[in-house]
Amino acid sequence: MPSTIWCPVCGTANREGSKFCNNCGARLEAEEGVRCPMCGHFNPPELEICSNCGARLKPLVAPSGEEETSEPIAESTSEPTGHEPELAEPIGEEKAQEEVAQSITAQQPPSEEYWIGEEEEPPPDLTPPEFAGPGEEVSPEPSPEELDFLPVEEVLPEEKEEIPAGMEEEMPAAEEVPAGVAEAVYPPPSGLLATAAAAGSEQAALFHKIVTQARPTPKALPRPTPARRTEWIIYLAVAVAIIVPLLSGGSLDTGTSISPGARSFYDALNALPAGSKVLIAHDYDPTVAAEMLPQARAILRHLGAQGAKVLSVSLTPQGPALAQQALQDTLAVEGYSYGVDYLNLGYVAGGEAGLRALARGSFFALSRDYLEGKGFAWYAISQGFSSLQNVDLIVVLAGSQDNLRLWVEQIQTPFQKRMVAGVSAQADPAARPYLRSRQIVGLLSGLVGAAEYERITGLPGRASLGVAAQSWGQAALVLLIILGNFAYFLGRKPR
Amino acid sequence: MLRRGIPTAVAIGVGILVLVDFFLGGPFLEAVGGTLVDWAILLSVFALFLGVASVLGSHLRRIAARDEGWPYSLSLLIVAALVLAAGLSGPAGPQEPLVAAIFTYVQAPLQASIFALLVFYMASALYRTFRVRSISSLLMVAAAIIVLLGQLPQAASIWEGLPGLKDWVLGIPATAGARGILIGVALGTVATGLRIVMGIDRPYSE
Repeated sequence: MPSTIWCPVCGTANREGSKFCNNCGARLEAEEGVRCPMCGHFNPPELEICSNCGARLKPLVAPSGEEETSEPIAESTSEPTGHEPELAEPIGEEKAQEEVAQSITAQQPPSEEYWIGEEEEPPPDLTPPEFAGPGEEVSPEPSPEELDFLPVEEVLPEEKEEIPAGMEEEMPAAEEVPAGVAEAVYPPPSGLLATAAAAGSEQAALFHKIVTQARPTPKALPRPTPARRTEWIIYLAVAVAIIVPLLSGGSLDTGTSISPGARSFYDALNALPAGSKVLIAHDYDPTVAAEMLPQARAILRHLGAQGAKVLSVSLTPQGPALAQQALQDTLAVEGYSYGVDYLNLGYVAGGEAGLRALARGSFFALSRDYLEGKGFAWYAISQGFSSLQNVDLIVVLAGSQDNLRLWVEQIQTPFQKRMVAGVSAQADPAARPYLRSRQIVGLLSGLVGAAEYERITGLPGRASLGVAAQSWGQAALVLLIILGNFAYFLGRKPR
Repeated sequence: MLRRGIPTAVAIGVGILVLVDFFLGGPFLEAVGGTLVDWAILLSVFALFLGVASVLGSHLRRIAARDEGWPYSLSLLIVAALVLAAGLSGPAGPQEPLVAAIFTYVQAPLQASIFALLVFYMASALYRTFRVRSISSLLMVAAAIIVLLGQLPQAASIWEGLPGLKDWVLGIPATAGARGILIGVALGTVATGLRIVMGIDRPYSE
């Protein structure tokens, strides 16, 4: 026989598990736990926040005794500590308190708050109690009706005393709460509510102080000296490794190994007959100019030695100025004539569309040179450069992989033009697939590639000097990796 | 209806024309496609003007509202006005001596310096986080050391096989990864292009 639950109101037997009486509708479940002061929902005792409305069920309790300081309180209200739910509650409580304050002021009991609705007539004592600070004794023993309003913990005498006692030393409260603020937020209630409100006023004052307390000016934290020291040692080691070789002016022996990409790059340029037309794209900006300009200089010197006609363009806005530097340093000083042997046609606007225009020839018809601003047709070098079809070799110097990709997609693949590329070290991995697929027939990578090219051509330049500094810097980085792992294994706790 | 329909019809029509021109060619299609591509260049340059206007407007608003850091906005406007005035002061444009000097002695060193600072942060990160904590991290650390040492001109004197090993790391595993990324980018570009040509995506009207 299934067990039954007897209704405490009408005595009707209900099936086990029923929540409400089948006869009178009375609640059958035992109302246990902590009752929410806002919505009346019963919550398990371990909860601090109402699972129904989010209001705080337990008062904020400051640490008591000598251990209490203002700092932890300030931190807990201003900085995330990994317990964000606890930090969020005061906001919800504040809103709830405001709602209660407004309802008390208007004397319009919300229908769901039965404890207000029961207050038919005000009690004889209509004088609202003054706003009390946490240290003042204002609350008489709460009446049984008020027990429904106040959280369970709040009416326990010992806890009620504990909060002001704990906070008194740190916060004299009455003086510290801004004048008028407390009255505005929590207007003095009247009647029976006055008693209940007075009982909660200490909590309100405390809560208000905590949430409105100005964030203390953070004290200058002592620097974590060991970590900072290590960081500065690292910076110093890297700086020394790079700067000393540069200042000493000595170039490192670049060894004997030449990468296959650099070798095939050289072969492609070396096979050009005199008078060949070469289009060279300076697609980089000053951030990688330390790598790309040495490449450009080494290549231009080789092209000049080959007697090639060089036309320079750029997909980056700063590229023409850098290209002009490279041209001035190489072809100009070698006695080559601007407009006859070489020309800087400047910026190619439009990205993909610009390259398509270059391929069709409309770019050459419309563009003006970078140095003098004259039309392309005005220069002697324009003879035979009417379209991309007349170009014997395209050299792309790309600081980023995207610029090389544009050239391969829009020019090399559709028109099957012979192309070599020099890229910055960061773009090297993305350029290698094009080398393996023979979409580019040669590849120089970074400053090392420039130094390799200088060595192949036998025309030494600044790349060899730069690669010495770079090599010492790389050696320092390897040393740091080894030291870091050494420290890691030494510091590991044995299992 | 017209507000959305006309741009969509224009985008679809232009996209199909340029696509057909790319694959089929022919005098008529080349003329039409070439004209459309030239228009695209003009539009991209006009977009540059819009971008400059947007930046200037944004910083003007920050100055007017006295937002945090508004003096930086003011300095940006002053510098922009000075460089523009320098460029327009003569017929040579970017080759005007003052513009060339600003580029050579201000812009280029600043950009290079900011990029060069990366090496210090990289060094610090290498020391602190590049740790052998697992098999995968061991492979990563080993690859980094091989490539860093293999790039050295004296790599062969450290170990004869080091340059070859470096080339293998860069040529096989790294290239395989890069190729996968490139194929992914290509497929994404094709998908995006198709969606625009079919009118599914309408970034121009949103």
